[in-house]
Amino acid sequence: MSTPAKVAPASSSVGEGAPALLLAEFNAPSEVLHAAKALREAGYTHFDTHSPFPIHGMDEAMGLGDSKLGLIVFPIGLLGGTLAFTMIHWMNNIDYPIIIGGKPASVASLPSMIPVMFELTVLLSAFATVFGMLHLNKLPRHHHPIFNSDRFASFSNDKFFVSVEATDPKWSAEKTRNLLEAAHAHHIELVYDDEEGGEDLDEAPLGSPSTSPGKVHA
Amino acid sequence: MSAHLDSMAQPSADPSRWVLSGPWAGAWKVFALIGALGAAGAAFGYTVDSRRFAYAWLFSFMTCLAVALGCTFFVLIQRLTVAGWSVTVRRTAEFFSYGVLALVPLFVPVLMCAGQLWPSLEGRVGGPDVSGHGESHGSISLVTPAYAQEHPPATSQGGGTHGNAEAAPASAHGSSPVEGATNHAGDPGAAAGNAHGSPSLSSAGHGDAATHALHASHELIRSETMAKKTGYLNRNFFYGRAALYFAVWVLLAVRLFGYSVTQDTTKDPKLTVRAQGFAPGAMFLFALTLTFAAFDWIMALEPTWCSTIFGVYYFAGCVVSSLAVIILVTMALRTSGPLKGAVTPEHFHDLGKLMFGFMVFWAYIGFSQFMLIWYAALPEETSWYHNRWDYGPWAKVSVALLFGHFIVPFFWLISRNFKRNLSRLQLGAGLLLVMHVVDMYWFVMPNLALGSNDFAFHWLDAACFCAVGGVYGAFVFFRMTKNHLVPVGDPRLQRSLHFQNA
Repeated sequence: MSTPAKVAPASSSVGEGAPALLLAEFNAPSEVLHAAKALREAGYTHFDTHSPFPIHGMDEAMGLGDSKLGLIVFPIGLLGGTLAFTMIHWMNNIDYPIIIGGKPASVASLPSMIPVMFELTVLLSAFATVFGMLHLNKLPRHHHPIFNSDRFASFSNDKFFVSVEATDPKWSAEKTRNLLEAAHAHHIELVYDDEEGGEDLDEAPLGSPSTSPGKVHA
Repeated sequence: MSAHLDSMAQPSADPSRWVLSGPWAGAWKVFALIGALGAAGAAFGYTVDSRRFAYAWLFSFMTCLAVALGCTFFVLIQRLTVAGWSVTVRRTAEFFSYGVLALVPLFVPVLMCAGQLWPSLEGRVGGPDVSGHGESHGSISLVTPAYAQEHPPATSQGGGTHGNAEAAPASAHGSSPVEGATNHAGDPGAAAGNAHGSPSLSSAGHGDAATHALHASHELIRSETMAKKTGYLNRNFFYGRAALYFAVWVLLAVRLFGYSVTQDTTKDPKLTVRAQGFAPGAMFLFALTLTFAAFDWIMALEPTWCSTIFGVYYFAGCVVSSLAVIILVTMALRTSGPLKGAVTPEHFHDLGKLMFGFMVFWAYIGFSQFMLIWYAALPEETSWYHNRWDYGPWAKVSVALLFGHFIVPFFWLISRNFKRNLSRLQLGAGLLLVMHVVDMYWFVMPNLALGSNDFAFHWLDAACFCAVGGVYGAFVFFRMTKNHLVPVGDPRLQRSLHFQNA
């Protein structure tokens, strides 16, 4: 729902290109909730909302649906259990059969395998959860054009934003702006990407003023 | 968040809502009828087979007690965690927790039959009425070869007890192998007396030493073990503990119910604070009494066997069954009207999560107990599973528990969508409740015919279950007609009504 509270200084480069996204600013969570609902109803899919705290009902308003994470974690968890069983079975019963505590070197000793199966299930499930979450969130991502906006930093303080990506099939600079205006956005800006994907920050000479509005066209 | 803030400002809901009306208002009469019929059947059964009655009643009692204690635990947890989400379902748990009051008189038949269930309390060791079987307690031989060698049964002398002192240095109580040799043949009444070193001039023990050697050592260890336990497993202490458990449970149930119900009329938020202050100490009392009750009333049915995790095992069953009951009852009351609007799929989702989690916990604890016993393979420990796997139909029940109480509900309830789909959650809760009954049956009933394949279901089991369950249910549902079904005075009620899973 909200992106990390990382605030990049405004870019000073002046490259031109296609607009990356439209950023609308709101003052209240209910407004951004309604804007998200309006966008979803208009058929937009590539948009996001940014707020200092979770807003109840936003998942429904944005039409996000259920998380797909479970579909990733469940099979990988089962794989972990199977992997542990196969490993112990091969090592203790096939490759080097060994009798411990009078227990047969066969599947009949399943109870002794279950703790390892359990642990490996949990371990792989945890990995699948963390990395699956990162994948679904398209992370790690080092740069996003939204940080080119000066105003965006306040999303982690007291403002609420809706961003509509230019990649959205329904995207149109004019129509999308109208829609957001109708949703009572109190400030709308078109944000451009850097030509070189944000690397211009490194190329900027030391001490150069960073107060220019950059790629932001209000 | 804004919706949440707005809701806090809303005026309190109409207090005439959330009273028991509709088809469930007369439910207590149905339960009372079931209870009366069951009690009549049980009373008749008592005259037919008092021993069967004792076990059937204990099984029924422990099944219902688990629900009551699990609900007490649920309320305590909500108070401890200062939970807002659960306010609308907490009252249902409080009703079932309060039902422990009805279980106090229902424990009287258990006390009446205590001599049948726990003969060791009366100073008897063996399981009565099954003495026709060679090993009267039904366990596999308690004698390891090494122990038998160290403690040879004295078969050639008929003298006094103390002549064996050097032969059995470990037997601090001076129990005699000679007496053990006589007892195995089927006189369960004498062994405990011997355990205290009472002199006994037995005449048996001459003759076929080889046949008797193992049994003698077997009984020796048994009487030694029991002698060590007499400090705990004696009648006065046992009854005293039972009184203490009920005192604690009644105190917890009445106090927790009282805080909540009083608040319905006074709307005093201080009562919430007091309940929260009451919960931590209450939780300690609850954990200890539940653990020792499980030791006393189920584990002591086979007094030579012990498992330190057993209290937790019973506790896990308590929580799963009580959550299943809360889910089923709130769902029924929601469908029929009284709880409409108070309990939402969000609450059921969370109750389902808890039930799923504690079901896995039940399996985890059950497996922990099993694996340690299986791995060590100590004869005195394996008897629990030996009795539930190698005799009668118990292996099938054990497998049914594994699948019905864990594997099937695990895959059924693991999905978020299934927990939010009320009819599917209802099915899962229903299955777990049925399996809880099977679980308690599996706990108690194998002790009825230890070491024998003769076990079969008996109508008395059903009669006792109807009697206890009917009276308990009647008490709870009658109480529901007297109070609100939702804590209408709770300061967090609005938060719970508008609760949403993040």
